[in-house]
Amino acid sequence: MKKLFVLMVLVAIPAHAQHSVTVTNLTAGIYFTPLLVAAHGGSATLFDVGGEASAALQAMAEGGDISGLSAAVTAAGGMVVENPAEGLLGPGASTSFMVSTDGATHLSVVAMMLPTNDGFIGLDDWAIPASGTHMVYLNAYDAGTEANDEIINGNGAPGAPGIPKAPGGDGGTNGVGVASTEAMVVHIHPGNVGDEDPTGGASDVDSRVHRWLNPVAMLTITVAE
Amino acid sequence: MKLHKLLGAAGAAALLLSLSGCGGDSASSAPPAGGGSVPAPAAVDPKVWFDVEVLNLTAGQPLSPPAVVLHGAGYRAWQAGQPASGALEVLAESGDAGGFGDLDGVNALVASSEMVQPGESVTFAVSIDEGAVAEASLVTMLVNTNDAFTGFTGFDLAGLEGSQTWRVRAYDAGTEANTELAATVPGLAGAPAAYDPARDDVDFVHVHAGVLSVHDMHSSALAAGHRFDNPVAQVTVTRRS
Repeated sequence: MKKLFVLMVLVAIPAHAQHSVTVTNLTAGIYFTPLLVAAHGGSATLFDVGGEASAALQAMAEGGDISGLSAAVTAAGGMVVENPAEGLLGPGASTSFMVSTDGATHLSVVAMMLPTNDGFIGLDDWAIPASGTHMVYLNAYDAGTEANDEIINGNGAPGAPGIPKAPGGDGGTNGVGVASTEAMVVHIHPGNVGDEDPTGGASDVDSRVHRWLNPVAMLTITVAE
Repeated sequence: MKLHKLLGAAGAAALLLSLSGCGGDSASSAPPAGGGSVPAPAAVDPKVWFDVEVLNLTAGQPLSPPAVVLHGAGYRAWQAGQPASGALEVLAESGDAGGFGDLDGVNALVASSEMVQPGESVTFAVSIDEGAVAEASLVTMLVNTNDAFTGFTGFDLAGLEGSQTWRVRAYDAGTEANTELAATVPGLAGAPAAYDPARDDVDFVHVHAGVLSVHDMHSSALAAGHRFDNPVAQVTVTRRS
């Protein structure tokens, strides 16, 4: 039955359909590291809300490294677009690109949010409609792998505490740390706390600049007919 | 308290089973001697069963035992911009959903036996009579707040085929000032202490602005990990085939 369904889907969608996609950063002060956009079958997922993060997801969420997730998608027969913005996607910025589905039925997107410890934008396993132009809003997730201490120390390696960078050059120093514990599963990010002290306080992120509310990104897709 | 409403459909069904079990459950057992004939069990309406799964999406806000309110068309557990009912006030301030069972227009209240911890999920079952006109609402409190709750209201449960999933947002009941003091936050001080019949806030239901925590308000008993953003829960209702 399941095989039959897959075959029907393959027939219904033209091979190598090229969909036009735009991703927009909706935040005021958060940067997205290189995006990973994946088109895949409905059973594959980049992340599992309520489940423990994979090592590949952790590497993306803590340091922006999408290579592990990208390889996993490719190994599962999916199609990927890596780093369409050719670098960071800054506050208010958009990037447009084509996604080839080649029979894939679902779309997922991830990118790390800076400055955060292990926050990322996520679209998980979204069923691509048959036609039309659609907007999808993306929420900020927390990988649950690193305490949100909000200390900017250059550390982006999986398992190493701290935030790699505040790309806007508006981060602080000498924060003593906000949180020391972390829920151990992927969940909705509670948001940055921050403070107003650039050289001390609890946090190295700025409460006036680096907070956000969901949604944090918008994806627009025009499906190839 | 109306016991049958509090027990809800699942509880009532379990009660019925246990009662019928008392009368002897073996076909080979002799009929009871003497007088006292055992009445034949009343015909039971065919039931349609649903599984309700609640996944907590927050970092640090346990959810009080989620409760499904079964009701007819038209009832709403809350309306944004309108004052909270007394039952919603108690739920949102203490996590106790029991008051919904006493309301006019409510047919049954079925609550999970467990709280839902951050990142975890619970599943429980509800049933309605086959052919009934039945809507459902779901309510649960974010327990490390003054009066935040989440859920959905006015869903056509009887019309559901397959399953339906919602990502739901946090509302503020508007019945208690968001002082974030330990004595007013049931997750910190215990539920009975947290309910206060006084309405010392805006007195209408609205989308919650989030908690401040001690980082933004020195008097707050909440920590950074208690902060939340929407959506706060994912709810899936599935009709059993």
